Amino acid sequence: MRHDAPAAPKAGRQAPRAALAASRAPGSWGGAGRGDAVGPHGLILVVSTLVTADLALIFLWVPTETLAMGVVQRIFYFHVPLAWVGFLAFGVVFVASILFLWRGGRRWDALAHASAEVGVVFTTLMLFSGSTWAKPVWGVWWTWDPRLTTSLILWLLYVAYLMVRAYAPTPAQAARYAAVLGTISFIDVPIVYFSVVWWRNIHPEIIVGPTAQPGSLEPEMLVTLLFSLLTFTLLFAYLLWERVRLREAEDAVRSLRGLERSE
Amino acid sequence: MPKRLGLRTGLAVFGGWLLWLAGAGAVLASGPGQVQLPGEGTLPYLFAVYTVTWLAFFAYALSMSRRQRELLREIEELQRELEEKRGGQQGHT
Repeated sequence: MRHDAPAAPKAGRQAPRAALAASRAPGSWGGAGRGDAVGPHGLILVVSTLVTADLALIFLWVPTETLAMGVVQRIFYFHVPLAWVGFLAFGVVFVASILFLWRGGRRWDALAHASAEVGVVFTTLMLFSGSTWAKPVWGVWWTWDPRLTTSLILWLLYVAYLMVRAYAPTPAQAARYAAVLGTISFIDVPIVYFSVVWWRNIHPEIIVGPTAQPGSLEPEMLVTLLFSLLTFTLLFAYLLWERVRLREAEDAVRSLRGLERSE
Repeated sequence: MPKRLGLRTGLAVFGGWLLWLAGAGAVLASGPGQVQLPGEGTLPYLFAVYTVTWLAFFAYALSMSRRQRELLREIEELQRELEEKRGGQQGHT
């Protein structure tokens, strides 16, 4: 197994330029040759358009739920996609961590690190939106329902993952410990998903995915939800791309500092 | 106009537009003329979720953008220092 997570200082006169190019090289995740901070313009444009259209669908098109919750039910069109993207992000961490442990390679470590951080952002917002929905509907901000509890554990696991990365003695150790933690922590994702089936409590049942009841949503609600899922997935792709580029620039700085000290 | 100012201005305008759309839409969705629904008075919760979510995403994207610029500047400075060092060493030999 190879563990070449940190960018090792390269010897020779071309090293500074090589390190600078590390964050822009065609072989890196960051893509070819874009040195500015704007990112892929096409993706930004698509995400901006989808976000606007998504808000229009949520507030102007989809009917208000009239049986129990009223207008606050619209939080659901954010809450479910935030949760879905959190699962997706941690799935990326899981796959990239396994590939890093198996094959080595800085790019897998960078991808896992970036995806974990973006996933924590989405999961934090998922917990916030769920809690804000719960107050008017359940009368409390928080309750120890199995779905809520397992979701909180998931969030804590990946916060711990980021802390391991931040406080490990060396970048190589950070990459290795984080890869192990990123692989093990993913076990909680299916537990969160199936928790409402295994331990039935007050959290609403699953409405998307293989175990969802058919016809559990009005067609307009389903269309809006699927559109939101697409929008948030593309937003995740954009943020992940930006974070990977940032990580590659951090590696390049570390490499250059090492080189400067060695001279 | 510098590119970084363009990005920031664009993000701010787009963020403002999103907040306006969310607010106007939320008011329309629960305003007069609508059927009396359960959960009346819950509009602030809805608006809080949408506002906080988008503000968080914009803050995160902007912080990444700023950090990226700082790192690229640092890379260029380190590169210049290294080249100066090497130039000095060559001068000695």
